[in-house]
Amino acid sequence: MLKIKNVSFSYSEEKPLFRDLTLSLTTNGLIHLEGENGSGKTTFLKILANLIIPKEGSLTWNDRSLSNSEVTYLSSINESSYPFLKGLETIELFSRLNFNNNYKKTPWWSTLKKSTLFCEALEKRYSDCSTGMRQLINFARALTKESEIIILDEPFLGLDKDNQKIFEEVINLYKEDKLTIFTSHRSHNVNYDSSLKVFKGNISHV
Amino acid sequence: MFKTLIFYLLLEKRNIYINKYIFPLRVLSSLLNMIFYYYAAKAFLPNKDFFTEAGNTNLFEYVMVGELTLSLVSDSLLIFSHHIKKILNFNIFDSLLNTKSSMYRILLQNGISSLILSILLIITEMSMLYWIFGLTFPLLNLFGAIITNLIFIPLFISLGIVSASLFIIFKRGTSLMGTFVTLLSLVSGVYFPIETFPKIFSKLLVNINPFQFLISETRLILSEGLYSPRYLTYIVVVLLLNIIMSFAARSILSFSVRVYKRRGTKIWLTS
Repeated sequence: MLKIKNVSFSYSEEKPLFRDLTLSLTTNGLIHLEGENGSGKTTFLKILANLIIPKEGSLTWNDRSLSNSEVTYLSSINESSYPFLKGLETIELFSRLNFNNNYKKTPWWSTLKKSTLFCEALEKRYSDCSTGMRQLINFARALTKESEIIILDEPFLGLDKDNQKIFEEVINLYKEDKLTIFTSHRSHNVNYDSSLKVFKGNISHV
Repeated sequence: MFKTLIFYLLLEKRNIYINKYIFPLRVLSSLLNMIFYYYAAKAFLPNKDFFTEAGNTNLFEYVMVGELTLSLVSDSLLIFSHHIKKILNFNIFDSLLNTKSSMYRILLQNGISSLILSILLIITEMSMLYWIFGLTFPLLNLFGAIITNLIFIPLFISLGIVSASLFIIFKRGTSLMGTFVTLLSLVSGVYFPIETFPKIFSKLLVNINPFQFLISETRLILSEGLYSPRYLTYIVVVLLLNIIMSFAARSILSFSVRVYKRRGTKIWLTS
């Protein structure tokens, strides 16, 4: 179980974003995180991904302190990559950084390969890729990290219907044995298990 | 680790030589530099040798050995800041932080692969000195000088990682590091002997500036095949410093990453 206990965070002293946030989440399933723009969704996801250290409070995963190795994080599309690398080289680089040489044998790889856009992106330099291509490459490079929690920040941005379906297919592969949390303003077609809402510095189950 | 290093090397090659003219242009600029010093040395000291602490050596050789040693050191110092800057500007810092590799390991692999390419450039420059300007050194001396330089590299790599860490906290550093390297070249006898400084100052530099030692020792070993009496003591001190500094660099880098995570905001570089 993912336990968030008394977490507080603020970018400035005057305006706290989260105050005394306490929440428990199951060890598997697909959770949709909703909230208005600027409500703190990305900050919350970054706290879960250990990219932001909260001012106060603790995060535990199965009664152990939540560490970087337990979370895979796909940042929103404005996160970029080395522009001079081809899609496949980017994925290869991240697979090495994640000590995963067998990513091509995984179900997510064969599912993503169904997308012609993804196959095209593998051979293109990142700088020449479209937004959708970049999103698929970023997703694949994030998945080279094997972990128990997957965090996806606006994963469907820039994707057309067909590619969004493939993306969802990959997410569904891990519904049973991983906890996946995602934010999206285009979630109406996604079959998620539960939903969380960020509102005025608090997060609650919907 | 080794395979990843080779992979990085190939990627780095693509990055640096994205413009296929960059390598030939760098070689050409080195050649022009050499021609400049060759004729300058000839014009100012047509018949005499230039006396230095490294024995009787020719002015052209004096400057060239100083410059090549400087380029190895300055590359070790600057490459890491360059990489962290690239990572931050490409907006990939968070994604790299989320991998299973530490930022120290990522920077080290990136930097060492770049350094290998710098060494290739230095070898090209040395070949030019040999073939075009007839500057030759006995093979054994050359080997001794290379080993001495290699012993110092980890120290400069650690300093480079410290400077890269400053980028993460202070968002700037290129100009600072550039100024530091220029200062280093002035107080280390790259272009002129430090004996020309006031005695107290030059004595102090001899004792506390490891780069000055590296340059003068490289010259001495290359031209005379001699090792100064302080050689062994200094090497032992540098080896110890290598260990201490690598721990310090690692700690400073992880501290700056922690500061970044606590701050929670993106880093936008200003220089």
